[in-house]
Amino acid sequence: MLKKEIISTNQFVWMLFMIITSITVLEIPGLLIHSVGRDAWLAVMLAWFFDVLLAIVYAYMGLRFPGQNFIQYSVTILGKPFGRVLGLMFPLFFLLAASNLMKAIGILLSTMILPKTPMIVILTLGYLLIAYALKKGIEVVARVSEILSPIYLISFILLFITIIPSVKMDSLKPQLAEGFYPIISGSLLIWSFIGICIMMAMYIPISNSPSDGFKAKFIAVSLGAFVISILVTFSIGVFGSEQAGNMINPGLQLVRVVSIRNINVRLDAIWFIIAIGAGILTSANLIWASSLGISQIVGLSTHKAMIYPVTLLAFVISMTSFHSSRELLNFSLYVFPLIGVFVEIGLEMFLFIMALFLKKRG
Amino acid sequence: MFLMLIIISVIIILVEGLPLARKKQRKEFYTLISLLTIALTLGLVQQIGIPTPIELLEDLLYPFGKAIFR
Repeated sequence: MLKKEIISTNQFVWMLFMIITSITVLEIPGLLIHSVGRDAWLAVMLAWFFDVLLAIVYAYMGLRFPGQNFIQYSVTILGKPFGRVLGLMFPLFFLLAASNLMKAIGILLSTMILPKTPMIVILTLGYLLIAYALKKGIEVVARVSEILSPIYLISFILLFITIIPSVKMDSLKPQLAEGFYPIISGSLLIWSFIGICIMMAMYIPISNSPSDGFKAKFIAVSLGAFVISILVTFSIGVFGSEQAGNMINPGLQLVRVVSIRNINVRLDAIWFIIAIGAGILTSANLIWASSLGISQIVGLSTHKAMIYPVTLLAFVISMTSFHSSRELLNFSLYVFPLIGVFVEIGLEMFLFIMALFLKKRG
Repeated sequence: MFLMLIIISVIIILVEGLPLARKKQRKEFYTLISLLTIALTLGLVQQIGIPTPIELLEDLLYPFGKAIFR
């Protein structure tokens, strides 16, 4: 009999924070500024509000079906054949998100720091680390997240404090110059990435306090939204909306302009280490959710044996898709948000309505 | 890359698959083999120039995304 893995509420919060912040900071700021311009921070705030509303549904479903994640309760609600087909979309979505994030990390590393290193080497090393971490179990990943996430948050706070003198608030004016449409479409874009923290539904059954699910998600999403809104605001304040919108990663460029007493201190290497570490841990979380989900759909006794094959699958998707940063950006801006909104909001709301309609309980 | 995928798949079968087969955990063993087959197929599909599922998904959704997130 395998020991059931348990995580604390504290670890739950930090893991969600890491997922939200890593994905958004490594992939989104440039796209969001490109798409929304000076109103990017308003789009983040709107996405935060919608995500908190959605979290109420996820937390309610977690309590209505105790000990079950959305893959398991989709089978409970819809029955085996249809529930399994619908439930399979969640692990596939996590697999896609993990591959996309790892490729984003790979492209960032190869363009900024390791231009002569082949992509296959960067991704192989990343995925080996993920497979090793996951073989140790989700508790180990949770403990590492509990250490790394606060460092990640502190690094952002320090960055924001040191960058304040370079921020020109006039660059943010005028607000709402393009009307409300860019803010609404931008909020959908960022919501689809923040929404990956539907992972909360995978954590609730292994949490030592399932009723704290909403609280954990609320804290994590609020912290994540705070970080990303300040990041996009300061990026526009320092570089202007046009230049920041054309950057692959405005966060990294912000770190590069940090100076103390007029001396450029080049903290980008340190920030890179933290950001890449957080990104790899986030991918590990997503691959864990994917292998657990696939095991539950097939009805396996353990998901541990599926970790290596699912990690290999994610590696192959990363290697065979998004051949350039332009392709990855196009996918992240125009394709991923549609898939994200469908899975994170559409499927869960469908399950929620069906559970109420069919009077199903766990 | 395809050769590397074959080698990694064989290693995974030796490390994870054989113990499952010995314990007669057939469902686990077949799922593992299926996942490895999908990974190898994706690698092969890319090698011979057939569009991958991600590329097909992109072709399908890109126009809608372009219209919404302009």
